[in-house]
Amino acid sequence: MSYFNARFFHRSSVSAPARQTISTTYTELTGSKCAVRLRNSSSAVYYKYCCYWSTYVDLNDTSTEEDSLIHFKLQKSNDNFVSNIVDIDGSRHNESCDTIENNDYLFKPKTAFYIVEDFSGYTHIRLVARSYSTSQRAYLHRTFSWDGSNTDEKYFNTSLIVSELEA
Amino acid sequence: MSYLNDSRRLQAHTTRADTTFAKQAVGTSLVALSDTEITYTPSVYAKKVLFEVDGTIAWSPDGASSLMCVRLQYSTDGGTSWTTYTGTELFNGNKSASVDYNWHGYKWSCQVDAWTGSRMLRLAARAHTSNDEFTWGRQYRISGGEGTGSTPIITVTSLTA
Repeated sequence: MSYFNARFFHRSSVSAPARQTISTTYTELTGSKCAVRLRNSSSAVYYKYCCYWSTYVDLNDTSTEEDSLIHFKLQKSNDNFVSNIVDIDGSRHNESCDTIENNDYLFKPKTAFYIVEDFSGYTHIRLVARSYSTSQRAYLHRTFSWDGSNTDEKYFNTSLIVSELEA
Repeated sequence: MSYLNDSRRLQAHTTRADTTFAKQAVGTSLVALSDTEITYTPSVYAKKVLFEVDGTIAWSPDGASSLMCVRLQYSTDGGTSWTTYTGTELFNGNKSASVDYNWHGYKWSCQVDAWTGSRMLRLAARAHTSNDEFTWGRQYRISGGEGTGSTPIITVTSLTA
């Protein structure tokens, strides 16, 4: 008997994700976490995650709008993020709408794509986010508005691809 | 450093990128977005199909607001009728307090269940309201004047896991 020891590959998609509100505590983005089992410990990790994010606003009632400013970063762990949580260098970045002028709203897909080179000894990876302040929050995964209505909620399913790469 | 992804889980990798693209004004009627249609047959081992988009919208004609309601659709009858994949709906763009002429570049991915045989896939979109109309794939030259357009890149891949 012979066996093919395939390189690690993971794909997942969360269907109908609930709306997440990103505030000032780092929060795991729905559908962004993956258990990783590399065939070769020296391999790099390909990580590509997509979701939807928007300014903290409901166009049906803009009285509570906020100028969103969000910090994203990738993390790794050897215990499913129970106590071992390590930020991955080079992954930190921001996204925002216009943070000066009020009532400027942004709505867009968020794609986070990384190659992580130093993953030996780790078993999990995920994307987290927080807002800069309590008045600069953001929404994820769902829109309040669609096709001319501001009361027609739609969701965007998450997409995650994680794969082992050999140099 | 370069890397090899030979997990064998990505198959029938197909890309559409045309050189004859022309920008497209989009109003409040649902229309197929130019150069996003692709006919695709998943690999026999596929469990999911990954649809990836790299495209742009521009502010024109509504300088203060561009809101695109876009969705992935499929047809099994040669394009006569189209069905939206639930969960692929995206509300993209900006709405501003004053005219500020935004240009947006987008990359996104959708995973849908694999199928047997061939399907036509496309993006369809409309503006949210008549105040939020936009242009798909508009390009403006550094030297001024309209360019030939910013071609969207559509990639479809079979996922066997």
